[in-house]
Amino acid sequence: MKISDDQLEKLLALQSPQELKNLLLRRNMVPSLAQANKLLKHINTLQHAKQPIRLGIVHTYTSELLDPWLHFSAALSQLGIDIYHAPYGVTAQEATAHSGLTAHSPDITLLLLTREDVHPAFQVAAACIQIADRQNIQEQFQQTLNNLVSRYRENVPGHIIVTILPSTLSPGLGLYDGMAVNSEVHWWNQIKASLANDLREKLSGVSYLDLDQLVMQVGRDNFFDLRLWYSSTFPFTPTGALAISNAITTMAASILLSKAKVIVLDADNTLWGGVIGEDGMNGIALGPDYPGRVYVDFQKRILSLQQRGFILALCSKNNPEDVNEVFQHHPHQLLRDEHFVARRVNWLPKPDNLRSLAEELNLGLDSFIFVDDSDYECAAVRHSLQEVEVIQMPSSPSEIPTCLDSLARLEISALTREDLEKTAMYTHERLRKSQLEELAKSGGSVEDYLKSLNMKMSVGLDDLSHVQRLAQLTQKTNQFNLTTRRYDEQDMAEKISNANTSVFHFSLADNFGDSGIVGLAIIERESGKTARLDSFLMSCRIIGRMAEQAFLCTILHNLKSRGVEELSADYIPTRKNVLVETFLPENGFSQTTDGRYVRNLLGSMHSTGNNFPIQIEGPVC
Amino acid sequence: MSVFEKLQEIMAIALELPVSAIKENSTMEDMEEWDSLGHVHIMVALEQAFDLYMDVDDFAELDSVPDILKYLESENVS
Repeated sequence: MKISDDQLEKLLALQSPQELKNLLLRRNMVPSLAQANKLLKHINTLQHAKQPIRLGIVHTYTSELLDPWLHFSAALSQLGIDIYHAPYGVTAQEATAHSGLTAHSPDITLLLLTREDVHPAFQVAAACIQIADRQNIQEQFQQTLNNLVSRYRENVPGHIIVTILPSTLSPGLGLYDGMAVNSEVHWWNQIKASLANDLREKLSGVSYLDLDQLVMQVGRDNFFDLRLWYSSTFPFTPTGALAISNAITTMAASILLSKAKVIVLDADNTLWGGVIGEDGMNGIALGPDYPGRVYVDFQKRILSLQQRGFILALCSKNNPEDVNEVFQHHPHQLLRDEHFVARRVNWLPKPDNLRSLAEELNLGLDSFIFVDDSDYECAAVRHSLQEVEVIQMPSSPSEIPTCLDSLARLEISALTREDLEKTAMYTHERLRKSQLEELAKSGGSVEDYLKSLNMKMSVGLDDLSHVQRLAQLTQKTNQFNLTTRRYDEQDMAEKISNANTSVFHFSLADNFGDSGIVGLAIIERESGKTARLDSFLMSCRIIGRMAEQAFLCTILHNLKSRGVEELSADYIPTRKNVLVETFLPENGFSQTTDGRYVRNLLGSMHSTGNNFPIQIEGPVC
Repeated sequence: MSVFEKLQEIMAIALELPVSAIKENSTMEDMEEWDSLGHVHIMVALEQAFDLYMDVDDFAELDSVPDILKYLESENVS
């Protein structure tokens, strides 16, 4: 939709790039080049210039015309952007150590390919490809793409985003395609599924961005400009160019910026329409009619976000019984007690509740996204907790279900087992806490409690199959982290494969469940007899169970058995890791004159067996 | 704002130049920034600003400010 002069004035009055992005996307507004230019200038007056992300574009169709849109949408995602375009049509040659692309040292490399580039079979009409030949072509397609992307993976740093341009024309069999045995669309979907599977399982630091989804969002006729495609090999309309730019910059932001972890939701006029304390069970809007169905869809969206690995908390000014009534008995309420890891239903100021939620969950407030309909509450949280990202519910009901869709911090680039089970893990933690409280009441000690959990730790070493999770841990862990060194999947894969580097990890199980992989240590072997602790970190969820000591002790024994006599280590203070300030001295490391820590492994050490209330197992023991 | 002034503004943004660089007699030939990519930007921006739908064959011929102004006049743009 075009933007009128009046609307432009309103957009130019907005004070946050995220608000601007939300509004543009929710209302399908596409600025003209001139309007985008004005909005870009406006955004640049709102925020300090940031270190730009370095984007390298490898393309087999004209990509330079995307630049103004990429600059604009990067600004909407609060990023600067520094773009390098490889020479037109050059693909394999850019995947070398001495190419222009490598010299640009990109944070993100974007591959803009067409189906014809990957497999010549697509140079003829897809409808003409015989069914008998399709399996072969599909495998070759997958293989060629995998080889190409692998070459980039080996030679170019940073993250790689792979795209394949959808067909600019509708299916060759026309309206019958959806029914056809030799349907082009169904076959293309199969090819995409198999190539995505390949990229996910065989390579790290690679994302496939499905442009077909963007075409669906805006429509083929709005996405492609056939005049520009035939005359200048540039496929996109301004709408299409903005859609692809938004997808790329949002993906880049989600990969490069700090991630959110918790979504804190208000209840009244957020999970349902109306106020439960006043309107009652039958009065609130939640169900199959308008506007109730809007809230049903919003709740579905929230449940999907939980499936992406975000945890949910509730923060509502209400009587707890009223909210419980809806959660437990309303026939159309989808979010139930078990979906929330914590809740504050009371009459305290919301900033206070958010602080106490952060404390309970052991998470930083900067990993919180706060969703509320009230001007007052949103302003109060923005004012006293600037690190919390505040999203105000749109005033127009039909815009509610999609109001979180444009948030880069709610996008993910990988999905691990731990992500899927996160809510259950926090629930187990709550049960552990109540067990501890029970025990304390009956006079039991913390040691009794830890023993009663029957903890089992499994320690592994250099296991490439966990590379996603291990990289993710270095990206997400802020508090229990000695050095806060961040590694992407590619870095991590290199460390795991390197003979001089050992990557230890552990998972912890107890009566309540299995935590998955929650701790990591990286050791660099320096000379024959000395080693350096590059990273040592642990998820905050399991603090207070002596797991860190047991893990360290296991590692020290392992190193000793491999002839290491001395381990050096650093504590690099950040705003958030004061928790581990004394970890090294408390665990047998002594500080040297240059401020580093050293631990001698020659003397006697505790055996791992009976000093911890944890049974340790796994390949390292 | 006259049609020429509007065109000046559009071309300045499309070619990333100051408005003053766009003259009544500017041509594609004598402006380095007005290359084939810049040309597409100008055409897309013209369509957006004046609500036009241009034929791709007209694109190539509109290679000077006088030609563009003449075209806009023929389309009754104001």
